Amino acid sequence: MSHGASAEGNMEPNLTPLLDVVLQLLMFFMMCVNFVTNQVSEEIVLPESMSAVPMDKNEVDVLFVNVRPFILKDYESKGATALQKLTDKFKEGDPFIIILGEEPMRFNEFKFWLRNQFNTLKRTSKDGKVKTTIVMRAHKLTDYDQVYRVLQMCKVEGFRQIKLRAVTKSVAQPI
Amino acid sequence: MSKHKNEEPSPEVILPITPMLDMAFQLLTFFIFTYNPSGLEGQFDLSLPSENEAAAKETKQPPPPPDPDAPPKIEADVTIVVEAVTDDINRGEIAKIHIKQNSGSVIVGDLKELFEKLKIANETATEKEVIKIQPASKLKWSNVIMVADTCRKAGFKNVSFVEPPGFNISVVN
Repeated sequence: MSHGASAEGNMEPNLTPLLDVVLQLLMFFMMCVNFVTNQVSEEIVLPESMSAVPMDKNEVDVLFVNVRPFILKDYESKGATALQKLTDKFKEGDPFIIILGEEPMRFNEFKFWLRNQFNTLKRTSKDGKVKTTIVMRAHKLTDYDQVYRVLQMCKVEGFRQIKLRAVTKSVAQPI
Repeated sequence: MSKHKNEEPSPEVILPITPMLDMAFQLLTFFIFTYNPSGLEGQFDLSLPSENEAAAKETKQPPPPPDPDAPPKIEADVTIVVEAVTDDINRGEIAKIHIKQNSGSVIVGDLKELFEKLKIANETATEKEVIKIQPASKLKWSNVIMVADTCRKAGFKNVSFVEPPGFNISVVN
């Protein structure tokens, strides 16, 4: 309270609580940004579902697989070189598998990558069993046969637990 | 030495809060403007026929011996077959929905009608929780999820997805 009005009329605003609030807000937004970039590929627009349940936060042993069709206009904002690289590899409507930290893949590349992941996980597992869950994030415009093919590939390579992601509808709407 | 030090007035430390506050406000503004909360993601478990079952069906051979780690075979009284629109404008939308039961097959036009029929089917089904969905190859994933939601709402909690008609399992193996 020593910063309050003195006898000479020196009025100084107390900035400390203001700074506290600002820093707390700043911290909140920074944490949210980190959380989102960890898991979500922004290129995937998930379908809405009323029956999707909140995620189990204890589940840490997961592999995220993002699937979408390649749509040229969605990637036009990328540089000419990057776009050329993509169009050399993918045609309009081709399945486009995105694993964060990897180049976009086609089915055959994904199959190879998945096999490598499974073998690595099996080698490093204590009991030789792979308990990793595949979390499948499919874009709402993906054709069903593309989603089904990815799911079957996961099963064929040996992954037993597969979960599908959707955006939870907060209020159940009439059909 | 120490006495000499104590006699000197301690230097007044002035912490410049204003530039720090300016910086904090700028950062805050940046994060507020770039904050784009994505919808709350949820998930659901998936039931698929085992790869052995699917492969045996494709090659018309007797199924191989069961794997103890494999998921159990899915038995359902009701199967939903969803056809997709194939024209360029509405490609991937729902065209027709068939409800297949032991008693026969019914065609429904929309999800509301599907819900009403499934509620009745659920009352008579022996496997009250299990249902199979067989969407067309080109049906959009969002429509598949909508059909699955309708099934769950009608009482079938365990929804399993079946391979689309004409799907070649050999491309997976």
